[in-house]
Amino acid sequence: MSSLFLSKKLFGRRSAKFAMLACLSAQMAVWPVVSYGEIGKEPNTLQANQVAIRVTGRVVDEKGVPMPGVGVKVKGSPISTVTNQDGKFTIEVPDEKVVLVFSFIGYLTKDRTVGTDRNIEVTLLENVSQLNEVVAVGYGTVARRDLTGSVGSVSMEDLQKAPVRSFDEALAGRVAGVQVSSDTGQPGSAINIIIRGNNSLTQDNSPLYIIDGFPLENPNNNIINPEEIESIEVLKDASSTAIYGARGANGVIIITTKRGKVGAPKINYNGSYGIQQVIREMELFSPYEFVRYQLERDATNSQQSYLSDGRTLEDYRNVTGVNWQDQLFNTRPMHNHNLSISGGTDQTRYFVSGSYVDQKGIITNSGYSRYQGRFNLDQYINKNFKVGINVNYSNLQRNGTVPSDGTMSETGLMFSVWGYRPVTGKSIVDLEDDPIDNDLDLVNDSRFNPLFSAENELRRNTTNSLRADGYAEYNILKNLKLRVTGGLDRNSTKNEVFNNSLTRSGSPFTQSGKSNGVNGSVTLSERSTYVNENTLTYNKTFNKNHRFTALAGATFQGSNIMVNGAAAEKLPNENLGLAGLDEGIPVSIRASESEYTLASFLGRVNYNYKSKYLLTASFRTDGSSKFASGNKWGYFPSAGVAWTISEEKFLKNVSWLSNAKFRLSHGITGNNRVSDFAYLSVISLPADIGYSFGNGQVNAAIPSSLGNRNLKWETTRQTDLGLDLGFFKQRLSVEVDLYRKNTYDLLLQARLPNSLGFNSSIKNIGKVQNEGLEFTVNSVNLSRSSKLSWTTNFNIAFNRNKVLELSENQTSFATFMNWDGNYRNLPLYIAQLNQPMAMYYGYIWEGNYQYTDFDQSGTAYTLKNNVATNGNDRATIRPGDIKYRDVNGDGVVDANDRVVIGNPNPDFIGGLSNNFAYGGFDLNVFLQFSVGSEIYNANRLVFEGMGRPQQNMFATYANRWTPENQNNEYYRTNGWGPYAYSSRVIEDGSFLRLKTVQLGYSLPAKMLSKYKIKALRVYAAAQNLYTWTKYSGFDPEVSSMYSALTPSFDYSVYPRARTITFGLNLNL
Amino acid sequence: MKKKILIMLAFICIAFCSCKKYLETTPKDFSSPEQFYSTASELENALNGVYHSLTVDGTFGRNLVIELANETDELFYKRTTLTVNPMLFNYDASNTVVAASWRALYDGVNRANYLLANIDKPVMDEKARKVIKGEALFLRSFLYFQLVSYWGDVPLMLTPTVDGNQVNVPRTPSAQVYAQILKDLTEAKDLVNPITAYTNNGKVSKTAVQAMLARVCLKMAGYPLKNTAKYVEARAWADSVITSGLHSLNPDYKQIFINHSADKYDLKECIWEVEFFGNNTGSVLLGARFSNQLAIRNTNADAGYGYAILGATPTLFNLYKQGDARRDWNIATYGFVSNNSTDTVAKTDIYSRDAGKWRRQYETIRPLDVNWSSTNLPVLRYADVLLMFAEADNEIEGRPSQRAIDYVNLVRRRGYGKTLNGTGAVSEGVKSITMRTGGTLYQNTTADPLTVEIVGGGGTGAKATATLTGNVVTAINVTSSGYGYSTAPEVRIRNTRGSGATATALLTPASQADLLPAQFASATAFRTLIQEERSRELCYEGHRRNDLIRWEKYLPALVDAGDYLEANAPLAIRSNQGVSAYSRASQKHLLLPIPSADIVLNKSLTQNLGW
Repeated sequence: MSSLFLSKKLFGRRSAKFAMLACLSAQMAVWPVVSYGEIGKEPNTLQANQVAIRVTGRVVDEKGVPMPGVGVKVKGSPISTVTNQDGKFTIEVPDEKVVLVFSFIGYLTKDRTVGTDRNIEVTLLENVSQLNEVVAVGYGTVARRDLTGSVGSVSMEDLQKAPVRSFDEALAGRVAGVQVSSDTGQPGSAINIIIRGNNSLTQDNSPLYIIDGFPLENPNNNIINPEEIESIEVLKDASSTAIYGARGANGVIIITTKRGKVGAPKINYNGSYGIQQVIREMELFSPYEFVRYQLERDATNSQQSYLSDGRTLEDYRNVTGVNWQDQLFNTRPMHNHNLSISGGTDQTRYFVSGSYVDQKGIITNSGYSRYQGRFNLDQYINKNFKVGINVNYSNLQRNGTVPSDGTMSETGLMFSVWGYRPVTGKSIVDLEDDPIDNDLDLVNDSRFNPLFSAENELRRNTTNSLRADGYAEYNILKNLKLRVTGGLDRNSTKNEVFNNSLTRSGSPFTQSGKSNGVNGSVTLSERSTYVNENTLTYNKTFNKNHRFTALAGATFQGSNIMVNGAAAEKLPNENLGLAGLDEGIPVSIRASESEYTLASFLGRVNYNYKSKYLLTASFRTDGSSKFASGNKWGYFPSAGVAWTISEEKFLKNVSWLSNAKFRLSHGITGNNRVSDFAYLSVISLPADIGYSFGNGQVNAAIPSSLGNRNLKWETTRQTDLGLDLGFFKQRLSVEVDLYRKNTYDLLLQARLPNSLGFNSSIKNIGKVQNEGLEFTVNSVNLSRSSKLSWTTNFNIAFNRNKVLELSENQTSFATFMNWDGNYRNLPLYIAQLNQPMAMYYGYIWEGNYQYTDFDQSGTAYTLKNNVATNGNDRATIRPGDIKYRDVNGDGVVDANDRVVIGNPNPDFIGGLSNNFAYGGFDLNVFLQFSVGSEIYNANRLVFEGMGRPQQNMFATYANRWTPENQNNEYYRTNGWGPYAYSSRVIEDGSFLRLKTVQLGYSLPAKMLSKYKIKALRVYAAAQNLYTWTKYSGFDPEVSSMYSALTPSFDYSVYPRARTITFGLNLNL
Repeated sequence: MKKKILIMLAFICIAFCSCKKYLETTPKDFSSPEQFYSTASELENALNGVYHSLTVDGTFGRNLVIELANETDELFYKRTTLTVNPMLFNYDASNTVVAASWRALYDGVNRANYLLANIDKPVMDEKARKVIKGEALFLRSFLYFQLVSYWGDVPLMLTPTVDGNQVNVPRTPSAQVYAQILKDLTEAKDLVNPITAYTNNGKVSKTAVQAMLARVCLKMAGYPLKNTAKYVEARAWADSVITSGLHSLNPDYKQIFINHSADKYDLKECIWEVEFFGNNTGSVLLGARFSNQLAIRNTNADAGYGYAILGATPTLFNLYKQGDARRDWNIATYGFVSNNSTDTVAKTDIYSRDAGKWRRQYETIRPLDVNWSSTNLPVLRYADVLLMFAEADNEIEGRPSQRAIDYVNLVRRRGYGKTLNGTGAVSEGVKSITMRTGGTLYQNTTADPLTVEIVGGGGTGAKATATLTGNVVTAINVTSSGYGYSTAPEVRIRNTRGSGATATALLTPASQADLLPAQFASATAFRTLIQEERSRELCYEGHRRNDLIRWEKYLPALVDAGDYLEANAPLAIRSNQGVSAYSRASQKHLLLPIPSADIVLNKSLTQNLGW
């Protein structure tokens, strides 16, 4: 008996989802699988007076793997059973004419007449239409057919083909409307995921993650081994996300990890080894061009440096200079090993896995490694009571200097890589072996040997993460289930910085080194988040056609963080490394602690009439400690309706149309991404602030930030109109969504007039709108029945972002980038009303001044009176100088001539995935694209002209203006005008990337069975294989100082790597 | 089954009820204003926070001494690279230096407002409370005095900012701002301690308040308010400092500034200083940047970084007359051998001499930091009070009174080194030496050098060299006049081979430093004298710009200083951006622009004329 009731469980490939299926199991009644409500019942047996035929059989999938849990039902009769863990079944049927219906979620249902066979072998084909696929939604699951909202599913099979460390690296282009971009190419660099555009101007726009049911706002996605992910769903519209209330406005990503399945233990090993190499190096001046430029730039000093001892410029023609990029960028390995064992019996299922990833970065001494293990267990205590746990532990380590760190252009690593001289004028000087270039003006120049920097700067971030959660499910009544979960997520991070005497910051030769000496810091932070969720699910079908599901729940979540750190300088004994920090002079001690709590009550009702008319209504109320009493509670309702028009009689017989559904949803969600006590003003006594009375230090208390007792949730109101179409028995399916999101009462770090004594305060002010259109197309071009199969998935999304309202009195506000001292006070981005929240702002570049702009008298050129200056004194402007448009026509280019000069936001983004299979071969080709965004290539501000003495330039600048080459693109030597942001270096960031390619070969099963191997597949995989782009920098996917207000800025980033790996996948 | 549901419902009920408490979290690592200001020591800390606002870059750490106080006829920008800089008169309302100072001053105002609003909150000693209140009132007034001097009409905030909702605050007319300053200072005067309560002059004392009242009243009497009635009050406040008997001049001019660098205090001369300390190594960040910006140019860490971003003008140099020791202190007579050296070398021409008022070698904390120094900034000096008295008195009386003349002479005598022998006794230097007999057989070789010794007479430091014609000493040249001589010292001309030369030293006349009759012949002459004297005495201390403006001499003085440089300076000096910058100064520069960020965010603000 006991084995029987459990064999009815919904085991199978998607078992992890099935665990969540419980609460909606009644919906499954339409499928002839056995619902939880029927657990424990005897199989329907025949009446005693009938003569029964006993039929046995086996159900397998396309690959011949037995399928447990398949529903077997006699058509038109209540007789049914399910297959056991070997895929076998036994059923008694009344006669041979009987038709058996085999069904399994995600597979095409198969009918089979019993006939004379008494032992039947049935093969079920996977239902590629995904219509019947179960997708995870908030606090439950639902068949895609029954969705009222907009939920995108990531094809994990495709995603896992990418040779990457974490899933988010491979997420770009997979789901329509999900914009994924990494700041730089550095292993571990931040990855920004934006769903349907940015809502918030100054606050975090990243989505809420639900990882195995655990809601987390900013999880470290590196702690999850992508191999272990069963499914990823992206909830986009308000009907789907409103169940997450105050945290749902940025969209929700639901990640479900694999769990054990009933069956003999399965051992799976997947390992790969590969290489990473830099995609692109920047072309720089040759020694000849370098010296030529130096001579033009500063003849007197350069002649001394380079043309002494009778040398001429021509002598540099054949000199081989130092190629700093070649020395710094190396081909580096990446290892990946995963081993998992899973299996289970009727009562107990388990999954144990371990993995190791070691990714060395292409820059010396950088990289990322992960040791990770997971264990999960599901256990039935009795037929109505089930418990489970899931524990993941990860140890992450990120190493290496971050090239884009720093607030001076010269402290970025790439400045030294590109800017270091290829040659010196002296043959004896060996630039590579010296930490500094002694010919530089060391007071004003921070260039430092980049090889030394990369090798010696210790930047190490170590994370230990433990995430454990457990659940208990109890069927209180036949249709009523209680689920209680508890979870704990604990991240301990240690951030270590050490600068020895061979680094810029600690070198006795540099200005900062003289001041700091050998220095370092250690910062420890520990964040713990816990959650308790309690839900009741009620399922009932009335009169067969009216399905009704209700969910009610109460959840509690809290988090606290503690940060402690110390920094010291002038360490006397650098050999001790950070262990000798205590011998130095303390610079700062860090200590902070904070916490928040969130209590929520939620409810949802689903009504489904024959899968034809669908209605979902949800409501959530969130109470947060982040707001003052009176504003703690926020209320977030939503509703969605869907009409499957293809189920109507008049369309039911249209053979080419297999599905047509309209969806409409509307709802309100929130965003609570403010610091834990933002509503309070702060009086602080910072250690570095004080006064010295009589040469003795006293502490000073200052009001350091201004609170706002009226602070409340940021609110987003979203309407989504969707259309799902399926043709030719779902061989072609199309999903279209049109949405509008209005976000208001923005949580805005609003600037204040400084006369208030504070420069900003968090306020609920401003309005932002996102509108968009998303298409997803899935097609089976060549079906699997043919020898060659081919499927395609394509998605494309258009989002338009618009600021509708800013802080009171503001029609725009500018954002300044802190990447260089000379540009720090110039605005680069502007948010204006009725425009996207980030637009480039500056001068319109008009090439160079040409001779025609001047009056000539002898050899002197005077700018004509009707020609505007470029901001420099009129008298100093020469032919070949950079020229900007005098927008207001006052003859002088100044702050009043700044206008919007570019748009960093893409027109559309998307992806195209193709899968081919032929015999044992399979090929996945995934292309990602982004079109219409513009990049601010600030590298070109520094490496195309001007620059410091002895600084190398990009090769493009060799084509600069000279009297012989009256070029309009590159200004003459020393003709760079005043410091300004202009349209000159704005570049088209559109790209089409051959992002992932994987070619695999599965050895024939027959051959393997001799060695007791279930499956063995070898493959070659590549990531970032080729990119089609006009962008002149390393890579168009770049955003070195990312925020919603400052996207697509490129300065001194870590170059992106191309990865090529070879691996094997072994199943025992 | 029903029971189970009931249990469930009960569970949810309990969950609901406990929610309220569950959501009450309290901050763990900071205090909110409601919690703070509840003990005497918290009030002290809050007061220190107001003092701190004087030390940042936006105020006296840098901008109000360097960028916004210059350039004037005392100092000009000595760099060839063109940058956007208030000192070069090429900036606009979006300038960050202007914004930083505006912000720093209002930060201080807000800190004071928070403190004053909570002053009565703790249970504490009433005397101590009064003192804190007095200092806070003084500091707020002082900050407003900067605001109104630099920007004219400004928003007058007298209560703390508790949220960001009221952003449209209009400008208050200057006269009203001044009235508030006077009101607060007058109240503060009777609350603060006398300077005798302290051993350092960083704390605000009663005489500091009185001296500040004198300065504010003088400003009100001048441009732009021209409320000449205020001269009377100005004189009265200055008089109350003088007659308090608590202050006197330091006999040695240079010692005042050495003390600032060496972390020593002279409560007689310096009535109130902004205190800086340490070298910003480690977590203690209490240093100042103004002194390094001015200091003699050098990038040697041991000798001390000095940027000499500004240099003394020939105009200032020419103000000093023979014997005025202040010149060679304020305009250093040496530089460093190279840009990175500990060795000094004499510099003679004015154009290669850097400002030398504060010298890094006197700092006591080692290692010397590149950017930060422990040098204090004097805000109120007794010499200033004496000159303020004389200025106000001259305007009131319409002629120089004897008392006014005496006070100016007091300042001048100290400047000429006449007071080095102590109060009352006059210190003289050796003015010249005349030969009596030339002697015979003199020579000047390495083996037998010819030396001149000046001994006796009660003084020290006089030096001279002898000139030989053949073997006869024909002249003695005084190279350093020394000080402290009350009678003529003996001159010894020494040589092994030669003999017989004698000479007589002539002391400087006692009245050398004193005003000449022409200089106090009329109110106008005396006014001009005082205007020059303030520069000679108080140069670089952050007063010149505001002084010139209140005398309505700002733009003419800049033109003169610029013209002089254009006409006389060598080419290398003329290529400094500061030289051409003089001609860019215009009427609008009498006030700074209201920072554009504030104009945008505060609808009620208007911009100053011309910006």
